[in-house]
Amino acid sequence: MKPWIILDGVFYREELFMNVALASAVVLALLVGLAFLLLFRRLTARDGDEQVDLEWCREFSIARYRPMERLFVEEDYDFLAAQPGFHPKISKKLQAERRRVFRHYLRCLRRDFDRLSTAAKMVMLSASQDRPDLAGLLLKQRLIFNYAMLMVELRLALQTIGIGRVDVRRLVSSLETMREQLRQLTQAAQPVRA
Amino acid sequence: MTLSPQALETYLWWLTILGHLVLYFRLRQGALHRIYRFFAAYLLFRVFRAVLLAAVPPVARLLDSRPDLPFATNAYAWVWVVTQVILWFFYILVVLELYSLVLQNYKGIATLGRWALLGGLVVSLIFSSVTLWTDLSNPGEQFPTLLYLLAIDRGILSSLVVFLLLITGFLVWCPVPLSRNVVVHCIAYAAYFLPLAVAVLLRNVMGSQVTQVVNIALSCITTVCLAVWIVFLNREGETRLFRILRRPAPQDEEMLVEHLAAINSTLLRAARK
Repeated sequence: MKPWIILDGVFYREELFMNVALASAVVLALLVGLAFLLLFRRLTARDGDEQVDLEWCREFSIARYRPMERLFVEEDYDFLAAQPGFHPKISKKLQAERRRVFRHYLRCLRRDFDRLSTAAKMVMLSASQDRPDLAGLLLKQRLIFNYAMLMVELRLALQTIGIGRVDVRRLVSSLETMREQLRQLTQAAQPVRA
Repeated sequence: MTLSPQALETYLWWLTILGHLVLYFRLRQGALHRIYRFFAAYLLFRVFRAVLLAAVPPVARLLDSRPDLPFATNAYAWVWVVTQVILWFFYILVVLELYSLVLQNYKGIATLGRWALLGGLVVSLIFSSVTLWTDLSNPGEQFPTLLYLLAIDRGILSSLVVFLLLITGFLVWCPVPLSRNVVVHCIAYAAYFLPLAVAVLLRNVMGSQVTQVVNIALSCITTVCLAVWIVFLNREGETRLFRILRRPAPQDEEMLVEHLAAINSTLLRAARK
């Protein structure tokens, strides 16, 4: 039997293959162990008195994010450029500051989405009948949210290096139309009877 | 007085068997053996298997004079193989039992729970199948039949680890109220099956000369896991961590979904422009 590669320091093709297999397995095991640690940390961090804050959910309104639509309006920069003593650095500084504010809004948006999503999951848990329709809706909304956040972050990053712009006008202008469409959708998604 | 590696391996192995027995009686003490039935049965089976394997060599010596009898020449191997197969079923049953207990009281996520379990099983089996080549990559294996058995063993253990990971992720995503005992089980199972899978893989890739070292390391890890179970599993740990105190109204669901979609619509418009 050939000696184990680590002991004699001589490389053979078969032993090299075994080495790669072993190293890969150890790295993978470490990653899996790390994933377990992170998951268990979140599991054990749950507050024992956590409750669903439905009152907050009822009072939530997307309109609180209306100021976001003014942050990247081109007219502001055009107005600045027309002023005497204007320097491009002033515009860049304003853009940077507004990106900072916009990111703050994004963080709040993410937090609110998580709260609403958790509340919806709790509603699903407390249901007396099986609700695969609601589960599907929540998963879909989560996927759309993650995709949309990624796209917005990408746009912001491109704007930082001077490519494209983030135009958030009309962000919440058709809210009533969308609410009506969603009301029809949720009424159509009847619970599955056991 | 220093222990030889062989003596240390034997003592540690018997220590783990004693630990299994103590844990079984601990479960009975808190009447938890009625809740975690397969887990209790698994603990008893481990003790039974140990006694059986210890009894085989003396019996085999008696059979030396009758080699014509079935299994006379490879009695220990046959007992090990048959009990190992039974052990595989127990591994699967104890993990499935745990998550069935967690999800059984929530009708609202019955289908979602089934999707999660089925998805977890499929992904874990694919992962194990794809990685099986690593176990068979040692050209100098002295015991080919044993290697195939251990490859299956490692495949099952890896599947369980991946399954545990995915289901734990599901429990983090879906805020199902968990008892402390369930959390202890999740942690102990992960701490037990992951090193076990790695240890069997090491043995398969590096050959039988590492068996003793691997066994000693595994016995230490098993002892720690058993200690965690013995200390933290009790009747009081069956209390759920949190409860919904007020049942939501039916229109709350519609309202929540509307808000989520409104946020997504806002973001998508920002992303398009």
